[in-house]
Amino acid sequence: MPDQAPPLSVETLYCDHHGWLQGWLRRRLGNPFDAADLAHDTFVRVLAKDLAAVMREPRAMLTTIAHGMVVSLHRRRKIEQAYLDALAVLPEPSLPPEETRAIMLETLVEIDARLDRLPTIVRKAFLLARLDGLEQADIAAQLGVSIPTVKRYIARAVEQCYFLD
Amino acid sequence: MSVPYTDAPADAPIPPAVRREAATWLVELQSRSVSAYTLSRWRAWRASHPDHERAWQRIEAFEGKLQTLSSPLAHATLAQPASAQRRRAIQKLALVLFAGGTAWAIEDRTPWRSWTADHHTDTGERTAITLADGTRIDMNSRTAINVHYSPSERLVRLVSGEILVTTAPDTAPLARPFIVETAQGRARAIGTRYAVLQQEGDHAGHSHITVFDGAVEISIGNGRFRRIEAGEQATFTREHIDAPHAAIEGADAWTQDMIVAHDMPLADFLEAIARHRPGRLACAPEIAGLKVSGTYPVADTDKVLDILQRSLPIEVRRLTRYWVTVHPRQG
Repeated sequence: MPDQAPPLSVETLYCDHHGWLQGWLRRRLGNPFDAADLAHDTFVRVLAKDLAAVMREPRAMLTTIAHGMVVSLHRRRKIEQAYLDALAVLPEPSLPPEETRAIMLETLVEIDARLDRLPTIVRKAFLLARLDGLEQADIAAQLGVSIPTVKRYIARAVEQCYFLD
Repeated sequence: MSVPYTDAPADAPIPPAVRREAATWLVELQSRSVSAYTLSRWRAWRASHPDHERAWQRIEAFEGKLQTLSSPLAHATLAQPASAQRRRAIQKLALVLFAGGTAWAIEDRTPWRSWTADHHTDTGERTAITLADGTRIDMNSRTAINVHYSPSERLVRLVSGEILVTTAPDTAPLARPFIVETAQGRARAIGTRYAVLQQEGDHAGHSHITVFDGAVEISIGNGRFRRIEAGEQATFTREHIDAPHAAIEGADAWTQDMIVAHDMPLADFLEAIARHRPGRLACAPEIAGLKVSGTYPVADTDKVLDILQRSLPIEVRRLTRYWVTVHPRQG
């Protein structure tokens, strides 16, 4: 029987690289619990990928995915902290009910992640329009660009943020 | 509106080009002024392909999601990237809020919903129209009406906002009654001049009527009716018509771009002003009872707030254009 490559499987990938990945993550996150969680999430994400491509360069693929997750985790933590700081200053009666707070936080994390992909000025234009309610002319004046540019920026942000796949 | 047949599943991704078009349309529709021509081109775009309609539904869904967010929290978390700026934003937030303040949702920016009505005004816009029989309808800010003139009656459906009706004698051979209908009931003109305000256009809301000339008969679903005379005002719900009381002088001043106050509680005055500007305008409970008198221009509400700040012991705090609160003056 001719030599055959070992069967492609996530189990093989896991056995060969899981420990190494956890160490890699632990060095970046500074704590073993987050590292374990993200290592697990990385392998879950790998399940969705083309395994042959992963097997060609397993560590490069794993670190690319894991790195993206580290970045997301940092961003989420920043949002959570800002959210909690804001909640802390709200007087009791005006706090949203607890159930809605969790949903709100998820929506904010989602929006923030999408906005983060945009250039700062595009993000600014969108927030000035949508959160602060500025007119397009006022945004143009504030950002030092033309009104058609403001419209393009906002449209670009909408294109990135409003379509959740 | 019928959508062309497609076999793409409802949750298939929207092609990038369509997303771009939909986003461009959204920016157009959220502009300061939108022409009827733009509106008709937008409708045509939506109808021309099922992906367009799906894309627009996604946009409306996300706008809906945004509106579940509390504006103060969204502002503090999203608006400032660096942590020092975030802390400052949160401090500003603390200055603006007060005990008992409402958890304000992000401003609704879906103006196209009212544009399906026969006639509408935007926030801060006032206009007057003349109907086929010569009846004049003054429309206040954020008002939408549908007109149904038929052989048996002249009906105006008040979808939202406030109108002042000045009826003309009917031009039809058999004089038809003139009726304003709200979500709560009907107000039939016996005389010639009256104003109807729709508060919260759903069934649970209420309507308000002020009669300036002649009389009006209100009738509601359960068969109840009541006649309101000139110089009187009354509130009605689906179940009940309140006893009328004296009309407030100057209640129709908005048709002259004014608001007239005679010892009006500040909270009520701010509520009246708020209808002419986008966003929220609220008042700390301690000063809600301060009395306001005078005549103020409704077209420039920021100026009105400045005038109030000079004449009353209050302080107006603006976190954003959409989010203004009035507090007792410190020190």
